[in-house]
Amino acid sequence: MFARIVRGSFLREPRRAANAAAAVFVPAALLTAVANFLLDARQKMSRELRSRGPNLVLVGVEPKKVPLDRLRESSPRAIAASPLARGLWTVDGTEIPLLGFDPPEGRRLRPGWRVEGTWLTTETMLGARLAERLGLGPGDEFGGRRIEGVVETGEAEDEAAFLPFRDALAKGADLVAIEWILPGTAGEVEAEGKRLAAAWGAEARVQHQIAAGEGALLGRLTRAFALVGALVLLVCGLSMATTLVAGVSERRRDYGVLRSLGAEDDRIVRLFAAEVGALFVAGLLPGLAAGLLLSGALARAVFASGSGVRPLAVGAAALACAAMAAAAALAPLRRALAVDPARVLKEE
Amino acid sequence: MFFRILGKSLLLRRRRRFAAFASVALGTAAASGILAVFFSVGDSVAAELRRYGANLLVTPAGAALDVGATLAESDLARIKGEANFWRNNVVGFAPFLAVDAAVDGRPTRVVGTWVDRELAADGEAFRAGLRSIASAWRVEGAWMSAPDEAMAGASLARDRGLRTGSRVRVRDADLRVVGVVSSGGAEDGQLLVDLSVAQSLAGRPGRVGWILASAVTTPESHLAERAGGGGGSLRALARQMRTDPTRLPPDLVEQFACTPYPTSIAIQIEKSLPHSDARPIRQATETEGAVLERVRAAFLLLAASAAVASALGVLAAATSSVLDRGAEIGLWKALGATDARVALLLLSEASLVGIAGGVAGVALGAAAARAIGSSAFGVPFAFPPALAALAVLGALAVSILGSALPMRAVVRLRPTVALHRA
Repeated sequence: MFARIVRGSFLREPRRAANAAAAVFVPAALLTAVANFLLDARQKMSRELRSRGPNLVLVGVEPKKVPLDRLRESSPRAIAASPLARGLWTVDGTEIPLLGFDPPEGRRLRPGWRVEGTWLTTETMLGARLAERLGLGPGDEFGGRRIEGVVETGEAEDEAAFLPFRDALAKGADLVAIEWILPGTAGEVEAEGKRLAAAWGAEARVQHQIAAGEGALLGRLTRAFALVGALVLLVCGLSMATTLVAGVSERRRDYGVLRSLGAEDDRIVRLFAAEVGALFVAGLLPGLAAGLLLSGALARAVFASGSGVRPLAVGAAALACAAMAAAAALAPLRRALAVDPARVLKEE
Repeated sequence: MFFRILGKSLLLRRRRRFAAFASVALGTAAASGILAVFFSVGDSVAAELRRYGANLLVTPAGAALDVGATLAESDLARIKGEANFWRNNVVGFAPFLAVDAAVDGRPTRVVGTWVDRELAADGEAFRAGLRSIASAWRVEGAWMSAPDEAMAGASLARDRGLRTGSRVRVRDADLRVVGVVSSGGAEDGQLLVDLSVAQSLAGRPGRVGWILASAVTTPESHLAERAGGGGGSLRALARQMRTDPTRLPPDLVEQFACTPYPTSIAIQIEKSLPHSDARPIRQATETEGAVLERVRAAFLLLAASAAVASALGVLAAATSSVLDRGAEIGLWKALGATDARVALLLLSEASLVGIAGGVAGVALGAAAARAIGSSAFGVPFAFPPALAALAVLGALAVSILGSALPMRAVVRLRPTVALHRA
């Protein structure tokens, strides 16, 4: 009988049921998406802030002591790592400042540099001022190599030519530093720097400007995100609660009928709970699933990279939804039950 | 009669009305508050990013770096002068002159600079120097403040056994090391001295080798895409802007003139400082650009989420509220109200609730934005009046929509049926 009533309430008024499910689905989806997105946001923002350049530089390194081709293995969590060589390259009788690094790592170390053409792979790349002075561009020949790209840095490197690290060494350049972008707090970067320096008998220089500023900014952003996120979650919860409360008041008459048929209060509360439960299954669960997909889309839209599923976020969102909405709907339910069934039937 | 019914209707069923009002108010507060944060957060983040350091490099025009060309020290204040349209965006700058000299008999890179000076340009005073662009440097001891003081880079200090209080002899000048600087950059291997000392060592009185400047900028990477894709286009665009802007589309030129892009500010600095060449430091400007874009996009999406969620709640509540009033509506019709009158009554109620909720929501939203700004950035975020108007209109629209949606069912309601149901 109980199941029949619950089933019937949905089947007899499918549109109302569908509206109610939708009104639970959307806030649930948004709530999950926002929670998931925010948990990811700090990490992603931290990565973004790090792209200002190397935050650790090792100097005084002896080439023989360091596995230059396998730097990442020395610090597996590193975001980027490359040796840096400096020297002079004689081209057509002129000495040009020469810089050498591992091309793909170099890109990761300096994502802000703008490239016309393509980034260095195996041939050569010229700084913008040098290229302008010589009247050369991508595709032209320089020192027996093809210019793959012209890079604009805004700094002294605009006057230099770039080669892959080994080729630079072959032209007489010296290893001057190993540059890193390391994850973690300023303290963690400093500690890792000390460890690497000790292992290789080198000196570690932490880029304090970057490390310090990032900590402060990231903290501020995280707090702003948390506050705003809380606001969004509150609104989603309220929206769901409003829907459920509206649902209860719409059904006042039905509860009145049940009461006059002899149903007791607890029976009716259980009926209501079952209906809400069914609604959650029809609306909340798909909402959570949609929310996870949505958070991936949000992350891609903002950070240009997807986000993982956070069971913590999903669980918290589900609990928040259920708690808020159910609590909100209990009060009007009790009010509906407190009224004399005859009066409810008379629609007063 | 109409207004009597309207008035009575609003006064009775207060709990219902209040619930509707509250949901409109809270929804408006959340959506408008977050949108206000979106408008202000960019400026706060940009200002915070300036702590990272300089994002513009100014050098003597036409010369390769390090070749000995210089700029005039006396011209420097012009960076904040009226000739620079973006002078208020420049938050700091410092001049440098490098010379290789013997320090305690050993060859050392000595760099002269100002640490903190008060200057004036076109009647306005401002501070410039290393403190304005390198606030996050770690200094053990103190920043130098007199021409006979110096600061040693951390690596140099370690190599030469220098400490706070050490005395060094630079050619025939005796300097006292007041602080040891740790920046992670080239400065760690240098001896920083007062600009006048470097100038006399180099034999270039009143001259400066290069300037680092820090300015609040708007990201310009999307311009490259507009101009035809790739890094080269931005450079070509910048070159064109400097040499012959008439060959560019006028709306692009205007955009450059009205927006503090790094290139725009660089061009304005060149205009104000004779014989100079200013370039955005790409590592700085591009990263900042990316961070700003991401932050703003995130808050915009959060605002949209709040708006959608709250609109849905308000719609659901409004719709069911109307449907629930079948008996009341039947009564009005039985009393002779036309369908149009009924519709007008319902929509008027919705409008009043919408406007009241919207106004309350705007007040709450403004308070929320202020609180979020103060808490996260120490700056109470402002609430643009235009946003207030938009928010109230939005609240009104959603309220009316919520009542208008079930209007067909309401209008078709036959008084006898409705009254009988009661």
